[in-house]
Amino acid sequence: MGLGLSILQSQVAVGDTHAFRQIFDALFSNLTKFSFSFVHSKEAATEIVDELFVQLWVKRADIMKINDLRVYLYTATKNASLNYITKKAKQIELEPYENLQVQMTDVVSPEQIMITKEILQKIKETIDSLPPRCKLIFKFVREDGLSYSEAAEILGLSIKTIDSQMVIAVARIRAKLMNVIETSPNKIYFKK
Amino acid sequence: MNHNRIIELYARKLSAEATDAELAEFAELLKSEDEQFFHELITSWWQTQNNTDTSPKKERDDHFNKILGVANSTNLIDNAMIVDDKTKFAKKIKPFLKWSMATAAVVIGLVVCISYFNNNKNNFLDKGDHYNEIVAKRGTKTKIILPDGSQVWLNSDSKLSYGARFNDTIREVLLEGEAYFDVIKDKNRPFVVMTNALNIRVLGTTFNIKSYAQDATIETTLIRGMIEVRKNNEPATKKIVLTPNEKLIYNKSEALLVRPNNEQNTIAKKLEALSITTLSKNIPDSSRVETAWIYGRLVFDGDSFVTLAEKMERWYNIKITIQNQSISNNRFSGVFEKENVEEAFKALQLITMFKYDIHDNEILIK
Repeated sequence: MGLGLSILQSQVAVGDTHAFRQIFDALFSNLTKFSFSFVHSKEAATEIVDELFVQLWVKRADIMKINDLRVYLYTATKNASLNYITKKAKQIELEPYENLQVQMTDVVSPEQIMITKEILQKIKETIDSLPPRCKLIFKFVREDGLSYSEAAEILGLSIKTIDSQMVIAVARIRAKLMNVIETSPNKIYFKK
Repeated sequence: MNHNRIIELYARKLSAEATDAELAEFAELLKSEDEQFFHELITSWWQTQNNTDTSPKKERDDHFNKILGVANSTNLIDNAMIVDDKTKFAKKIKPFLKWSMATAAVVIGLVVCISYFNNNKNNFLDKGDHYNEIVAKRGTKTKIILPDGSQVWLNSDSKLSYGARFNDTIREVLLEGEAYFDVIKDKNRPFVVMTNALNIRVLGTTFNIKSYAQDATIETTLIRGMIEVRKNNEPATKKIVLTPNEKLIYNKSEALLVRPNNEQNTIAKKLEALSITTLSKNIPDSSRVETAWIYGRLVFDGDSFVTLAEKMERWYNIKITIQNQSISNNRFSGVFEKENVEEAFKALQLITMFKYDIHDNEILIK
């Protein structure tokens, strides 16, 4: 993905709308969700990310100056979202990651039959109960496919923090699922 | 303790952050059957995800084109202004560019475009030499993309006009009839819809306006974003701000004893000149009376036969004459989607007793 994106980036620089569309398809939805976690409004999040893409295209001649486009877009989304909310409430600026409402993607009908509805539900519940910052980091790494260093850069946190937050998330999911595995009466059947 | 270490390794392995040494260590620790099972489970769950945008392709196409439209018009104007500073010749280029954009937009909409010269019909049109007029005749609907990329769905028997300088500093359009707007955000150039009594000012939002000349009311329904409504001739009057899912109904005749659409209400209701109602959020746009029409659905909800007949006249391009006064007060709720005129009337006959004759496009209710 990282390499693909930098190729698209150079195509956008010369005005290729198809390449721009591919970047849009790959990132728009995730960036909007990221923005939503700050602004708590789908309309505002969409407007923020729209504006970002408009600017990206308008200033496409300069796009090659961007080192890592993905990190850049996430960071720009964060900054624009924080600007948006600080206009509304000053105090959020101080604790930017404590008022997040992270939207996770719903997993649609898993192909791997191993995962039953029950398991999915348990995982969903566990993730929903994670602290906001932890949940956001977990979503970044799993759904947005960001590396620890990318996530750290976007959020202005250390890689160590990302690592430890991931451990917290996985530990909670594991505890929950181990419980299910151990108490499941039809354990053998369940394991197929 | 082992447990903490194994979780740490789980997290790094899933995140593709683990080193080879860590992976080897992880394999060593994965001994118990339950642990292996959990490992399989979480790995397959981790990979099962729906990363891509699930919105319909059409929607994404429109959205993308909207972004491109705004970006490109930003470009054009910036360039035009740079040239403008240098040479007078550019003054001819600039209107030409806009004019060609406007023309392109109308061609996209596949609609009637008439350009008038020096027509001072309305004050906003004075600013330019030409204006564009898009008409959806009775029985038809149309969709237009304006030069700024904003989209407008025009309902039957409606007309939208805009001047040649539409995109300059303020985006003004004149509406007669009903239209659904999806306006591209541009904080430097507000978008204003003028009707014969109200003007509606927006920045970037989605809303529906119903303002047929023969209707007693003007209705504005906000779907997303925020809009400001003012009376045309009284700029000093207070603006009314609508928030999503609010519908503003304005009575044109301020006689206040209004019977909407000449309905024979048993109790003549005294209506306020302005009223705002909040719509239920749980109804999809495609089923709402206010917005269903853009999905090709004629929705009626407790309408009297008289009101319904008016809607059907526009929708099907027919003329309905009601001789049977006994049914004109009956109220109807329902949806027509693919039904033709006859099917629609047959369906209505199932609900209430009446006979009808069709001659060409004229329908007589007996």
